[in-house]
Amino acid sequence: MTRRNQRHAEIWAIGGGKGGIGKSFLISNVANYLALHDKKVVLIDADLGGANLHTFFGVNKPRTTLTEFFDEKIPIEALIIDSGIQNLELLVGAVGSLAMDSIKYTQKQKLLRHIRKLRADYILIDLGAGTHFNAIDTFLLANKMIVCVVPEIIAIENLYYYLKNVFYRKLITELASHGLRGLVPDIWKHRRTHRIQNLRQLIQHLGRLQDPVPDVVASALKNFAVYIVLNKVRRRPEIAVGSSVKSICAKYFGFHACYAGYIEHDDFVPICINKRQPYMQAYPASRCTQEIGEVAENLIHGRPFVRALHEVS
Amino acid sequence: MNRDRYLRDFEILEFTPDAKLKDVRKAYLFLQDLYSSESIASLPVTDELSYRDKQSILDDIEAAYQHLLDFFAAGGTKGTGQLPPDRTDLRELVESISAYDGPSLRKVRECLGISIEDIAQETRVPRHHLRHIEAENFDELPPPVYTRGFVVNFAEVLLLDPQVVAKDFMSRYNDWRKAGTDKPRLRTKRSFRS
Repeated sequence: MTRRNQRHAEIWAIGGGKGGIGKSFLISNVANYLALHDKKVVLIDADLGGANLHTFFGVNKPRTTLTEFFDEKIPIEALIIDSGIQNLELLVGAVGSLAMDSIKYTQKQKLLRHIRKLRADYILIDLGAGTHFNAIDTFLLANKMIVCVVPEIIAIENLYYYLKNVFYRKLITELASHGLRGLVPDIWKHRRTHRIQNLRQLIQHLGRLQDPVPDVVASALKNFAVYIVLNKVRRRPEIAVGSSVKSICAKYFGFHACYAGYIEHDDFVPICINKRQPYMQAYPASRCTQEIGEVAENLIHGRPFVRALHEVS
Repeated sequence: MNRDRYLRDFEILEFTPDAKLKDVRKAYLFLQDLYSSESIASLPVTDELSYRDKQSILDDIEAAYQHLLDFFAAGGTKGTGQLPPDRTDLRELVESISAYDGPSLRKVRECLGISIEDIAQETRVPRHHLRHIEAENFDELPPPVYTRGFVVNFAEVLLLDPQVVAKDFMSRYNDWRKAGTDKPRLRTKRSFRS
């Protein structure tokens, strides 16, 4: 136990542009998988206005939430509730009055500082859908950034939009730490005069500027790794959608993404949610459960889903 | 050997440098299809890049693939470097083949500098079957359903289109079988029915 206390927890965050594609399902089950494999996990629900992770575990809405953390200075440990699963605890962020959006910058810093100190191996944050910069900043602070997508054009379109926003924000914050806060927004504002039409050209443009800009951008590109998980796969050829999206991120936008795996569609998922029953406990031997395990393992090791290309043909 | 160039080729084809030849072909075909046709993954970004930028992505993929073919032909990661880096001979050879048969598969294999042993190891197809395919010893080959699978595996390693190769080869095999059924001495070991 002392080992856990000394070591900093690894933070994983899941976000995305579109709602209802299974982000909360995915992160709650990945948390469940980690907990089953003897890792201590704290799952944080930071979904604006739509905090519902507790429902996935059949737990009632807690009375104390982050509102009390800010208003009454209650320690963050006191907000943690039991999920009913060993090694897995929940922290419900935004039930009721306080939305994460309304948190001030200093409050956010304080919250993150406290989150980092939580005693756990993994801290998983569900950011919900939306591209508000507050949510994106939290996303960028994670050790592993996870996005979820389904093989539908609208979800994919929203994913691109989200990822572009995230990377744009990453460039801004990285340059801000070198005293160049306004640089990227300024270039983007005057993109016509710079003949910049897209993110790729923006990155190329930044690469030609004075020191230290090219180095900062290069390191931002190098450190940027988003893990893509493809959800609700119904047919085998759809598995390749993850590879396609990953490839387009690299070739169209210029940043690296990793296809961490897919989870197939299962009619029993909504049935379980409606019964407020954790899916993995209800169907421990299902294909979906196995795939969640595979995704979780790939995330732990930071490696891509290797069968991706073989599934194509 | 320009190591950086190879690493860049692998990056363009989105592979780690431990990739195998047939994986490279799969990646190439996959990417070529992705960037030359419309799909749910590419449609939302149609307006993102200009036509010229898109064309240059395809050109890069093509160039990386051709270059990696040469790389593998020259001994791959083992880096023996015996063959000349320019492999127009390979391209010309493949283009000169109108329909694939056993001897043409052997020619492509030899041109790529791959041994039967290497292919057997890669595909798990027994060596003698590969040799019989090349020599077109049809009477030594297993029933069509197995032979077809072996030919597909063989073609993949040779970076040929497995479907085309299998079609060409199997039509030759089936012609031989048809001719064989007229004769009474069809070997029983080849037939499950008898």
